Amino acid sequence: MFGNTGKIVWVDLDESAAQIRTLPDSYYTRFIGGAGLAAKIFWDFGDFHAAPLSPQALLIFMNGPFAGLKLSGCSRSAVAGRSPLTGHWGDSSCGGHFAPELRYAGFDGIVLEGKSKFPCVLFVEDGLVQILPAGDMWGAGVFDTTDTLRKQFGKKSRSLVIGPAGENLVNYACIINEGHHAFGRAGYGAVMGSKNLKAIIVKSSEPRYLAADPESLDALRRELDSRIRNSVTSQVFHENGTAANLEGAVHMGDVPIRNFTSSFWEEMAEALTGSTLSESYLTNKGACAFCKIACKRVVEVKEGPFAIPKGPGPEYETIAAFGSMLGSMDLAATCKAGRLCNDLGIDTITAGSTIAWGMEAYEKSAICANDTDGIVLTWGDLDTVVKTILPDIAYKKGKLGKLLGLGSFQASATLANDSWQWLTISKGMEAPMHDPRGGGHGLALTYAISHRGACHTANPMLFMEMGACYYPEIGFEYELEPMSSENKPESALLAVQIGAIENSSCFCQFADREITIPEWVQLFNYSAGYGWGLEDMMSAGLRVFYLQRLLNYRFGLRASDDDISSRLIEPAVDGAPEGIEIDFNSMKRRFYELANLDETLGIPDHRTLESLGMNDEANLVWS
Amino acid sequence: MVKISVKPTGIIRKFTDQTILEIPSGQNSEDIIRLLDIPHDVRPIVFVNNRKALKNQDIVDGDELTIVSLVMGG
Repeated sequence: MFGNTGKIVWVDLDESAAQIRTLPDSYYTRFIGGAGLAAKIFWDFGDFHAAPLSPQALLIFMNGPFAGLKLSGCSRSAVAGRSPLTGHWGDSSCGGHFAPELRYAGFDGIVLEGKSKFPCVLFVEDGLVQILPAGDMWGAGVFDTTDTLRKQFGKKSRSLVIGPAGENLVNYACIINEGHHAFGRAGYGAVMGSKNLKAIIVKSSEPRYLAADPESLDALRRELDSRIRNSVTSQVFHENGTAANLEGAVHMGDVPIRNFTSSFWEEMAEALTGSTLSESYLTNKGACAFCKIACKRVVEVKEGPFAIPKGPGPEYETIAAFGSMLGSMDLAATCKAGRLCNDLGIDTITAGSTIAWGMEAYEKSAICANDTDGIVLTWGDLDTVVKTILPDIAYKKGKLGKLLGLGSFQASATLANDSWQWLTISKGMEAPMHDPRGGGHGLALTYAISHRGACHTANPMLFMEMGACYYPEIGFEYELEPMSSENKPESALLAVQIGAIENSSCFCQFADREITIPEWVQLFNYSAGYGWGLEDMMSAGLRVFYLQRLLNYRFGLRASDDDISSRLIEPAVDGAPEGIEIDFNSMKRRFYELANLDETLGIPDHRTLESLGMNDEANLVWS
Repeated sequence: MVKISVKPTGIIRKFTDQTILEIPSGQNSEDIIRLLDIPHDVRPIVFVNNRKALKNQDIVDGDELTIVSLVMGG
C-alpha cells in the first residue's frame, strides 16, 4: 500500500489490550481517509445505541493519505465519533505534529473502545503499542502534561492530551497537540476522558513515506509548496495570523458582535486585528509540521491583569469568540482566555459562544443570579470570564459552571425558558465566528447541512463566497456575491464534495485552495496510488458526504434538523448586511433537489446511493 | 475632476494609505482599485459612503470610499 500504511491500532481499553487491524484497500479508494474513513469504520463497527460518553462508544483518530508528506497543509488528521455536545455523528480536525508521526510510526489511525480501569496513556512507538498508567498527570493541565510526556517519552515524541475539562466530561472538551493545536470541536476530549485516557503519544524511529510515484510526487509537491508559500493570502496569514483581516471582515459584517446582535464595531476591529496582535504581543510565528504558511502565533503579555508568559497565542476564532462576541475589545484578554482554554482543554468557539449566549440571557433575565450562584454576567467583563467562568466550566463547579459546561443548546433546554431565542447554532453546535448575514448567505445553508452542526470548515463555502477559489473543471466559475442566495445551492453541492475530500485527506483549507482540481487528483494518485480520474475523486467526496448523513439518519436526525438558529439569518440591525434577508428555505429546498435528498428523511434516494456503489448502505436505510 | 476620500482597512493598508484623490469624472469603483494598484488576489471590494458599492458604481464628487479585503481566515 502507498501513502497509507493500511494499518490501524485498535485498542480495547476494557481489557488494556491492543491489536493491529488492516482495512480493505477499497475502503481507502472509496472513503479517502481521515473523516471519510472514520465514518466508514463507525458505520461497520460502531454501536448506534451507545451514548457518546459510554464505554461502548468508539473514538476514531484517522490520518489522510498525505500525512507525513513534506507539503504545506498536509499535517492534519481527523477524530470522529458520536459527539457529546450534539448527540449525533461528528468529527474534528487538528493540525500540528501528531499526524506525520503516527504515519511514520506505521499507522493510519487509532480506534478506541471500552474504558480503562485506571487513568492511562496510550503509547505507540513504531509497531509497539502500550497502555501505561497516567499517574500524576491525571488532573493536570495540558501544558504540564505535555511537558511531562516529553520528558518521559523523549523530545521527538508527539502527543494528544486532554485537560481537566476532558477528565470532567465537559461536553465541549477538546484534545490538544503540543499545547497549541486542537481537535477543538464537538467534545472529543470528553470522550477520551470517559475512557480514562489522558493522552496518546506517538514516536517513530524514522520518517518514512512510501509514495506510489515518488518522482512525480516530488515535482508536484515542490510546485505546490512554492505556490502555497508565495500566495498573497499565505503571506498575509504568515505576517499577521488568521486574524490579519479582522478589520475588513468587520466592514463586511462577517464578525459576530455580542452574540450576533450587531454586525459593525470599527473600534473593536482595530483593537483586535492581526496587525495589533503582532505589534503588541507577538514574539514568534508558529507552524504545523512542514507548513510554509506558519499562521500560528506565539505571544507574551508582559503586564496587566491578563499577563501571560510566552506561549501559544490565539487564532481568529478565539480572538472573536472572547473579543467581539463577548462585547470586549481587550486583545490581551483574548490571549489569556485562549491560553487558559488550551490548558483546561476547552473548545474556544463553543466556550465563547456559550458565554455570549449566557450574557444575553442574563441581560434579558432568562438567567438570574440564582442560576449563577450570584456571579454577574456582563458584556465585556473578561475578568470574570478568565478568573471564574472558564475554570468553573472545566471543573463543573457551581451552578453556572455546570450550566455553561453543557454548551448553549443543552443549557437552554435545561432552563426551559425563552433563552433558546438567542442560540446561534445548528444541530446543537455553536456557529463559528463567521456571520452568514455578512460573510455569505451560502454559509447559512452549509452551516445547516453540515453533518456535525454549524461549521465553516466542513466545506470551503466561505472561501468560495469570498472568491478565494475557482474550480472550473467541476463547473465552479461563479463570482459569488456573498450577501445573496444566487447560485449558492449549486455552489454548496460542489462545496460539500470538496469539503469531504479536504477533511478526508486531512488537508488545511488555508493551503489547499491553491490546488487545482486536476492537481488534487494527481496528488492522490502520485502519493497513495488511488488510480483516480476526476470523476472518481468527486464521487468519493460525495460518497463521504452522503455516508455522514446516513450516520446521522441512524442517530435519528431528519431533514428538519438541517436548520439554523433564527438569530443567524434574521436581518442584521447595522453594518453592511443591515436589513438584508437570507432566503434560507429556498436555498435549502434547491440544495435538496440538487443532492437528491428526501425532503422528509434528509437522506439520498436509493438510486443515488447505488450510483456511488453504496448498495449495502442504501439497503440498510431504505429497507 | 472629482475629489474623493479613500480609507483602506486591514490588509489593504499594505497597498495604499488613507488619502484624498482627485480623479476624472466617470470613474467607477473598479477603476479606483486599478488606480491604487491593489492586487486582485486580496479580493478588494469597495464601500461607498458606508454602503457596499454596486458593480461598476460611478464615483461622484465627495464620495467616501472604504476599501476592504475579502481575505478572511480562522
